[in-house]
Amino acid sequence: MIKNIIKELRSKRGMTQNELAETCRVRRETIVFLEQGKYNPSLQLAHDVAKALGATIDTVFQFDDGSAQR
Amino acid sequence: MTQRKHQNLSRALRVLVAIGCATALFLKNDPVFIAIVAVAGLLLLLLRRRADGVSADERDRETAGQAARIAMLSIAYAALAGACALFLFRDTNPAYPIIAATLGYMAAAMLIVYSLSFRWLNHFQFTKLRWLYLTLASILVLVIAVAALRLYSGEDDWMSQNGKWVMHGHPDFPAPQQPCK
Repeated sequence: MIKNIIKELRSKRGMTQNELAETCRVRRETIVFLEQGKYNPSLQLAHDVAKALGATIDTVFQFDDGSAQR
Repeated sequence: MTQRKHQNLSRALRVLVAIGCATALFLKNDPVFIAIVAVAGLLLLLLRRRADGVSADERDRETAGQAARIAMLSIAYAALAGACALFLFRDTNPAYPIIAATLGYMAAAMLIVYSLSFRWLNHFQFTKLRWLYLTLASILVLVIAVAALRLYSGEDDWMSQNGKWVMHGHPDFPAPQQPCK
């Protein structure tokens, strides 16, 4: 599973889950699952989330060592 | 209208439609059945247009795919188990083998359609010859449907009337040799 810092970046920008969901054109539940690390996003969604948070994909999402070697 | 309100309203409408359709079928009132389905379809479309926000995203579609696969396999296994059970008890009721065969064919058809759809979505729709594949598949389905109708319709047969074999439809085989009863 991919780790991420969506919650931290979102809090820094003062965004709610709903606002981030609307910006990325997904449902709020998807943001909830993303923040909890229970859902692997598509490349498109990862790009949209990173763009909405003013960061790059590799800043927002990090593969743990085990996943990176696969 | 919020997504939650839309979901609640459409759910309530579906329950009402199910009750209405079941009642119309029970009373054998086809025009009412068709009218209910048509009006409900329009209402659901209007409700959907009034709902704000995203109703389904990539996570929903992924979940929907898994749910569809589970539902399809569950039904296929249930149909197979039912067909086996009916076939085991075929001596108790002459209708059981027919129902068992129907269940078996239904399950097989569902799995074949799933397999072909998967192959299409996964590979063929991206090829240059996709229209050729689609046309060939349509022709194949049409031929199989016509052949199945011809084989199982029972319309073209010989019937015994007043001690003589009389053609019913256009049977492509000769009249039976045994005498009429």
